[in-house]
Amino acid sequence: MLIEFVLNDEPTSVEVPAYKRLADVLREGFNLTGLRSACGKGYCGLCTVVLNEELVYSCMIPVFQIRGKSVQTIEGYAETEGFNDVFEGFKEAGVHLCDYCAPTRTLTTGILLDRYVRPDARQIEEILSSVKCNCTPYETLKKGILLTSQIRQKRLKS
Amino acid sequence: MDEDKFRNRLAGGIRFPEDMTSKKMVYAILIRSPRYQGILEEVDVPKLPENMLFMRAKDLPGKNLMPLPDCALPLLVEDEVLYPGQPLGLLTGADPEILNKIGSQIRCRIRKTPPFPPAAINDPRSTAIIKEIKKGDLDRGMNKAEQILKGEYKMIMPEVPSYPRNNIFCTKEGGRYILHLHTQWPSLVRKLCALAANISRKQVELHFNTAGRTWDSHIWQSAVPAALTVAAASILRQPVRLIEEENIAMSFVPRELNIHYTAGLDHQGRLTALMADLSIDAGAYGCFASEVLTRLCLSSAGFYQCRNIRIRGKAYQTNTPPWFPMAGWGLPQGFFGVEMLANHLAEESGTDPAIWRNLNIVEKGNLYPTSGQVRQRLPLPEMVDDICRKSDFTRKHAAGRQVRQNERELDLLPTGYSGIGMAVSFQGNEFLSRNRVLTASSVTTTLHKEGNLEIILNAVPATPSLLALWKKRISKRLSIPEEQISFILDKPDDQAFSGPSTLSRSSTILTRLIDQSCDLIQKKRFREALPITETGSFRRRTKTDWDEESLIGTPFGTPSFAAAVVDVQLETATMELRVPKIWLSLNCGIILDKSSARSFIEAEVRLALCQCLKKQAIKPSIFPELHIEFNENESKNQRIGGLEGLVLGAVPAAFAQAVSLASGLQINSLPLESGDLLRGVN
Amino acid sequence: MKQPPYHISIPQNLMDLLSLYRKNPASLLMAGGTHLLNHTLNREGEHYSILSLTQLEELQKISRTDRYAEAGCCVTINRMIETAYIFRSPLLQDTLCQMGPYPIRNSATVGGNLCIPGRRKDLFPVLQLLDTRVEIRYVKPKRNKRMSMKSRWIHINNLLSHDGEINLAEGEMITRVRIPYYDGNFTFHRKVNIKDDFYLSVNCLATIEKGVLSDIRLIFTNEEKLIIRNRDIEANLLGRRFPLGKKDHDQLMGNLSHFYMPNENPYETYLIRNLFRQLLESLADPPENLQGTW
Repeated sequence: MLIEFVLNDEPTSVEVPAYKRLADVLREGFNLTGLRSACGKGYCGLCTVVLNEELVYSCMIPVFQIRGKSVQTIEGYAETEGFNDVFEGFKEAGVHLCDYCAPTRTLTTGILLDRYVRPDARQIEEILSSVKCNCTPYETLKKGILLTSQIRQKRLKS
Repeated sequence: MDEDKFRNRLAGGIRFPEDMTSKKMVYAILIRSPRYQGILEEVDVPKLPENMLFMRAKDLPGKNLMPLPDCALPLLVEDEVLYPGQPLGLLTGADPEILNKIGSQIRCRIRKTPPFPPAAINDPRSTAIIKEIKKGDLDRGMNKAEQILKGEYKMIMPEVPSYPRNNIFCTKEGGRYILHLHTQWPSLVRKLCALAANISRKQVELHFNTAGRTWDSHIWQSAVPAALTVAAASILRQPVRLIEEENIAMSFVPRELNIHYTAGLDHQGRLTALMADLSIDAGAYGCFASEVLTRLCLSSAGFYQCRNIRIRGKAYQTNTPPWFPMAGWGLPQGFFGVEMLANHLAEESGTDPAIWRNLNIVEKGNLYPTSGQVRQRLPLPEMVDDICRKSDFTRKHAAGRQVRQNERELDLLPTGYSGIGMAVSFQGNEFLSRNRVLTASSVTTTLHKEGNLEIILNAVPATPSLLALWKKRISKRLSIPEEQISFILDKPDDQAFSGPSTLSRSSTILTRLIDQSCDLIQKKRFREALPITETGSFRRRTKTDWDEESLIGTPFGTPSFAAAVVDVQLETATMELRVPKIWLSLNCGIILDKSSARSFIEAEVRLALCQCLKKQAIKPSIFPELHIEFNENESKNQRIGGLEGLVLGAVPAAFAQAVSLASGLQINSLPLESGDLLRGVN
Repeated sequence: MKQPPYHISIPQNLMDLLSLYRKNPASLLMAGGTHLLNHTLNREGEHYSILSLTQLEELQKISRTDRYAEAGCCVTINRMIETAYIFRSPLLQDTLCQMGPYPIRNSATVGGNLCIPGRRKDLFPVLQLLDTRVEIRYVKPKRNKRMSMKSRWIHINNLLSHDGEINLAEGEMITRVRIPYYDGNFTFHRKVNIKDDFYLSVNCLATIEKGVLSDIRLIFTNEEKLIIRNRDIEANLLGRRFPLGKKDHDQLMGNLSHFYMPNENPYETYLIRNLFRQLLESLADPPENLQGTW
């Protein structure tokens, strides 16, 4: 099946069987390896991407569902100012993520902070529970999220 | 950390084996046995297309054997299938979908054989290892006792997640096989690849990433597929990428640890005799059973003063996938038994658990349960006092008991009960076996003419931040800029062999070896011509220090200690358990990096709570408030201690005691579900 | 990853979809796919025929009138949360927020949650309490053999057969849910883990004025097929003044076992009893933040 969609702001198309999962198509067809292929069951969250400006687990999306939609992966997000906010926030808070979860954690934090500009406790918890990895303490991550949120607010004001 | 590297990491620039591709690459999948044990009579393979290959044990260019401590595991089944999901062969092909399709058409005929006898039967066919700790005269101790108490404790081990998957990529470049994989044990991978492909160890080059918390449970699992991938690459002369599918061998099998205690107490509540029988499922081959069982026996004996001890452990084989070593190599799991018993004994002798512990913990000059002499003052009594003060343990514990004692007189049912529990544990970063496969460790440091310092570790550090810390440490010691210091995690060498990077060895033993070799370099630096190469090697302790056969001596040179207090709330209406707070006091020498240590502790708390509450994951909303105290003493010659397993050892027993207090039931097994507590309320 | 063989159709309008569904009623309807991909589509060797729904915009609409709000069956859970002001139900909002991590809620849909085979997950009991009606659509051939689309609205209760399964005829599908506004001032929602990923939940909507209960709707579910909404007990509670006297309280608790048969699992029975007691306590002292939020 020929599927046309926008990938990281560029229109593209791919000829794949329609039942393939989006995670596999992005990794195998486009070599976008920032999203990991881990549990394959929508549990770990390491394959999160942005589909039409919404976070989704790409292992739970059959590729035919992305026809005509826009997909953003961490590789695309890394070019944005939002990514810089997360980078600065995590660096300042001393968030040492492991190689495996770092890209997805960055993406989910960045995108959800667009929605929750000043996150409250419940919203922080929502950001934390989008990705399941044990590498960094919740306290450090919370600090990183709050710092990122402050940096973003400052940037948006200026 | 280097800013660009950090940015690259967040941006997903780091590549894993599953991300690797190359021209002419073929995919490989493991074909596994169906669901029963028996003699493999025939494997029926459909006609394969030209570019596909099915490789069985006899097709391997080298040996079909993985020499692990206590057993030699076949890489591929030759004749006998011992557990469901055992690898039968490797299928390679250019298209993964066709590969999977043909893989599902491969059938095998297995003549079913009787399974291993059950654990209750003492049959030499199923008993992998028996270990025993013996001290004094047990009968005399029991005769002296005023009170004889018994306890039976059971723990079902939780499923330890294994991300990333065992994907392996192998390519051949100029006579060398370059492997990309995840492992905590590069030396074993190299040795096995060389054996299986019949090549020299120098021909194997490894590249790996640090990723997540891998625990110790999966330390050797990647070695088998790695060896098969290299063997396939050597036959096909093409790059090979092994895709590890989810399979029945990876599906969770509940494993039980059972410990039966009989303890004698005198009129003061002191131990006069301690007898324990423990048994654990070692899986199909019983690999590492000796080390794991020794550590289990050791922790089941605890570190309480007792002249007469007999601890007997049995690791039995079953027709389930081999799974040893578990997280912490058995030491944390054994503490569950002895700490549960300690709380039971304290209760029976009418003493506060903290006071009972301080009364019974071995002191300087006493003998350990393994008859070695305690040469230094143990920090545990102070740690117990300290944690009691901080958590208000004594008052809360007494109040909890009082509430339960008076509850029959109450007309109202409270909306909830609180409970509090305490447990202690220790950890050692050394292996108790003297098997070189496990204990070997060396660090080679070379100061080059240009002033660059190169350090060969032959190990994968548990966290990437350790490398940064070591750099800082060396830079300070040798006054060399950090940019000029580089680490080689693994160097192809025919000689060097290192044990696995587990049990905090990377942060303790490797740091020590790095310090040693740097000191030697510093001494020679301005006296001898460059380059200077120095090697620091880990020296195993002598048999007089620790006898691994009879389990006599001082098991660990520099143990670390932990005391934990767990607060539990039980809602009466729903029997739901919540853990609002955990206090931890840890004594493990210098902490190299508090943030990493804290992260590790938090991860262990999560694993421990999964073990307690039968949950797959502990959500941030129910994660307890952690109060961590590092007891770093201020003496000059401070050691660096290990952290691994300390929390895992102490938290489950403290949790079970807290639940016992809150529910008024004697909790003897973990994990617990709310429904299990119901009968106590009715 | 291994993939079983699929045949996927992506109809561009509802008419085409229903015609295809009528031709092949064994097809699976896929909206978010969160349940299908994990639980249904992983049996090896089976061939699946899938009808995709996500491209149909008419199934993703949310609208409101004076008396009710309507949501298409492909509206995602997060969109429902974001448009909570339209649905005006704190109970519904609470329930939706607890349905998995954020990215999953972006895929999971209302219709999907209602139609999981063998399980009645979080949304069903709440919609049941809100007296939700469900639009069922199907196509029928006319005399000239051309297809015409038919629609009927049924109460969500009638969606289930006696054995608790979804009771739709071949070729029929849920297209919309109509959620009437409820003007009560009291909600109660508790969800307790029974075992693995099964929960017992108690949901209640009520109107209580000056301590007198003028309306109550109460439902217990265990996410399997146990759904209990008993009008007798609701009638028994109506008109009572809270807090209840001890005699009334004991009588109500005593009557509970007549209304609700004890379950096979004693823990479930225990939970039903205790959560009911909690509900009575909560009615006696309603939390302030729950009153008149909307």
